[in-house]
Amino acid sequence: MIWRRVLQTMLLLLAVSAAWFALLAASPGDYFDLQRLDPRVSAATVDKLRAEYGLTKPWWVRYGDWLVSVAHGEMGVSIVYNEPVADLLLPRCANTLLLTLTSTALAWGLALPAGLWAAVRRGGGIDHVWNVAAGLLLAIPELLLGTLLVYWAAGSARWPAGGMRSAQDGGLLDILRHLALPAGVLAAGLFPIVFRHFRNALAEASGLPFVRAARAVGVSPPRIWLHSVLRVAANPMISLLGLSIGGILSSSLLAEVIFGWPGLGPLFVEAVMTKDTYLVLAPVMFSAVALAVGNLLADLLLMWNDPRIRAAG
Amino acid sequence: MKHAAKWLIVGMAAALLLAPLFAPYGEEEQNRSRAQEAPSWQRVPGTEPARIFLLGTDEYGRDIFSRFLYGGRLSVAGGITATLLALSFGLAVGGAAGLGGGWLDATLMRTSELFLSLPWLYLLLALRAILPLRLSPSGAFWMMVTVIALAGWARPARLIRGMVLSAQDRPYVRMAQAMGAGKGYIFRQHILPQLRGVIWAQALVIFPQFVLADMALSFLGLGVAEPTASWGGMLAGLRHFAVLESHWGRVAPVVLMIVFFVLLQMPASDEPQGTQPRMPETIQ
Repeated sequence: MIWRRVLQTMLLLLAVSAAWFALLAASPGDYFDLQRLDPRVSAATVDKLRAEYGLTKPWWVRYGDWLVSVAHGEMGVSIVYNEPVADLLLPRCANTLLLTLTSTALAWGLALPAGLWAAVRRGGGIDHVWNVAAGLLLAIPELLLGTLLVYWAAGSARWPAGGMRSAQDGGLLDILRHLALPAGVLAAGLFPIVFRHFRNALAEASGLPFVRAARAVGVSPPRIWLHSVLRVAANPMISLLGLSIGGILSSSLLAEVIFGWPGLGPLFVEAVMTKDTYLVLAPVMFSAVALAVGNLLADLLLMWNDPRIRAAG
Repeated sequence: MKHAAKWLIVGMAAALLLAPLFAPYGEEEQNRSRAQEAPSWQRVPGTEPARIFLLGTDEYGRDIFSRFLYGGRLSVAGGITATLLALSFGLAVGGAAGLGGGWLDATLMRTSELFLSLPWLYLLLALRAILPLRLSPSGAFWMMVTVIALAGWARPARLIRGMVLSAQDRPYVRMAQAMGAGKGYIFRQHILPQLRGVIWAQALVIFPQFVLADMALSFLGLGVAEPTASWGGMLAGLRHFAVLESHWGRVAPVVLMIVFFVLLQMPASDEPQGTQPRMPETIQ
């Protein structure tokens, strides 16, 4: 069962890579069209360069070459940087992970207690306050919140307005200071989603017949919440965690561009602008793999938590 | 309260769509002698030209309030067009898959999986990457609408397919089938009315997301370019050093945009408590 899912996922990813490869190959123009406009570069040179980067071959041949290159851990060569794509991407991925993991931990760390609090006091003032706050945070796009914060930070002396480390410093504390604003913006976007899911899952679970029965026979409330309700409410949270993991390389794109965080996002945007085909394809595939792994992981966790799903699988 | 919000949002969208009527100045009209001027609500004697700039001017002396309206027109019009396109495409695909079944269903659903296997923004940029880089303003508008609709049709299509499948199982639909009603008739008479709710709900979810996608593309420099006004372009302009030496009128549009999105959220949060909250695509 699990192996079938894994195999299916791998086939899907292969299809995704082939489809995007073909689409990118079919798109009008390439990096060298910009070179052609330069009077200092002769047409013969451009043709020679194009042949050197394999752009004259049909796309399926290039796709085969690319697959071999992936197997060698290179993922093709960036035309703009003239370096293997993997060497460019991996340090960027590490930076992106630092940002997304921090913000995910922050959002979940705040949303779970808040959700439990709101659900226990369901219908009361606390519940209302949290709900309004979550609704407001959900409505404000990170693009706008981030831009406002950058503007504010640029005028303040305390917060850096972008980047990952200062030129003079670069220590752990310095990185954390740079991390605070982008991670905060991302967490503000994720918090209301996690909060609402958790609060509603708990509210729904606490109305189930077996929970009511437990309450009726006099099981203590903390025990009911922790033992019965939480376990039932865990299922949607596991799916959500899978989605969170799925977005671990991709969800921070806008925040990275806004705050100049040297992650995967800005490089991807740059690659799209310069028509650096392999450098476009690699982040696309990275994000697709992360999404697939997140979904797979969520399914496994669900099976582990819920015997009903285990039996069905 | 919710009702008021609904009318407010309709009014705001209309004001943005009719920007040329409300904007005090032209979209690209420059007053170079009065660049970077702070908002003023009365005529300044002795200044030339003697004009009022509600939210001040930018570095070219263009009226920020007018550009906010024109940019909003672009985003709202783009959002509405892309929503219509994505939903009609989703309806066509979902309907065909649900009614057709068999290989048609399988092919369409596998195709939609290809689209759903990328995170939203990455899908958007990847689709953007296969289109020409430099475009005329109207070309850029249609490019963005196409890209956004292409990126967004798959989820509604799958939802609609599911609805069509379950609708076909209803006893009265089975009855109609038994009495010899054709597929087209059943779709129009029995299935389409059931889809109305889903389609409206999807439109409410999709529209803000599409407006944002439109802004994000222009913000990243992959959408509408200067001097055409766009919300994304205005945000990108705020990251300029020059802004630090300027006035609060530069940030006011961002606050107005936030108000716009908060209002947009209100009709969508009408759903009864306890149902699954909607999930923005950003994390999917």
